[in-house]
Amino acid sequence: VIVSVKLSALKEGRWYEHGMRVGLGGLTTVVAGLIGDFWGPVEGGLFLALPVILCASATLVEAHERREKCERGLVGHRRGTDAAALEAAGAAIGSLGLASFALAVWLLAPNIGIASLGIGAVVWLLVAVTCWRLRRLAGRPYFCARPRRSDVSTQVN
Amino acid sequence: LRSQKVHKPDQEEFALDYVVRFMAGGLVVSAFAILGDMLRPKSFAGLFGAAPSVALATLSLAIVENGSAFAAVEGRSMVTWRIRPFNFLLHCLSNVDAFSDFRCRSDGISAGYLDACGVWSQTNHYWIGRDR
Repeated sequence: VIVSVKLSALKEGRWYEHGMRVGLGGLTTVVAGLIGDFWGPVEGGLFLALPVILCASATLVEAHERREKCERGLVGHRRGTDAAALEAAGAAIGSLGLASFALAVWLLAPNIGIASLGIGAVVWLLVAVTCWRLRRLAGRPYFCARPRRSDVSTQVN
Repeated sequence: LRSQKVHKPDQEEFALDYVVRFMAGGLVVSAFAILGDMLRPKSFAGLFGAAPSVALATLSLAIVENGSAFAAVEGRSMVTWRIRPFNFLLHCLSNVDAFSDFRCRSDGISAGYLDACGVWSQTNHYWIGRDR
């Protein structure tokens, strides 16, 4: 599988969707900061692993895919939910990378300070991509879309 | 860990600090989300759904304000949260099932998501309680 970049996806987004992401991301960061300030780093750290991008993206991905199909005169609901499911499956694999990021910061931050975040980000990317690739090599993915009789009849009609 | 010294800003500094946090968090999350939108296949783009966006914004500010030791404790707390119960994995598995099974449009997504959040927060609560 070749990873590609689809620049036209930028045009599909609407202004309020970007606003929602900025708002949700900002709000989560503020809440995580407040918890860290008032209850300490142990409780604050728990909220740093919040899957905020998945929260912001899943519904938007479903809406984009459905809209794209609707513009071609198809129903598109099934495609929308499958795209969101695939995104969630990818995020589940990416969470292993996030754990590696946290581990790198935990071990390196006392010695090298802010540079540990850069190293952590590289570790996150490497672990996440490796796990994703291993899953692809392992054969049939666990999260496989199951064909439904109703979908077939919908497409035919 | 609880005796860790935390920088206590005055009121004006406090407000400014949170405005900066909001902007930094919002921009980092948005940047990762846009990157995820552009990438294909979708399962690969999903990796960016679990990007350390909030962590990057918060930890960089924490290191600047409270020092590296504070950030290290937050990192350790993240690891505990992530690795031990495989919490987020459960969260996503619930999401996948929900996305695949619900047949009604965005209501299905919302219900599946809320269900997954319930699993997430309950497990999280259980493990925090166990630590104490």
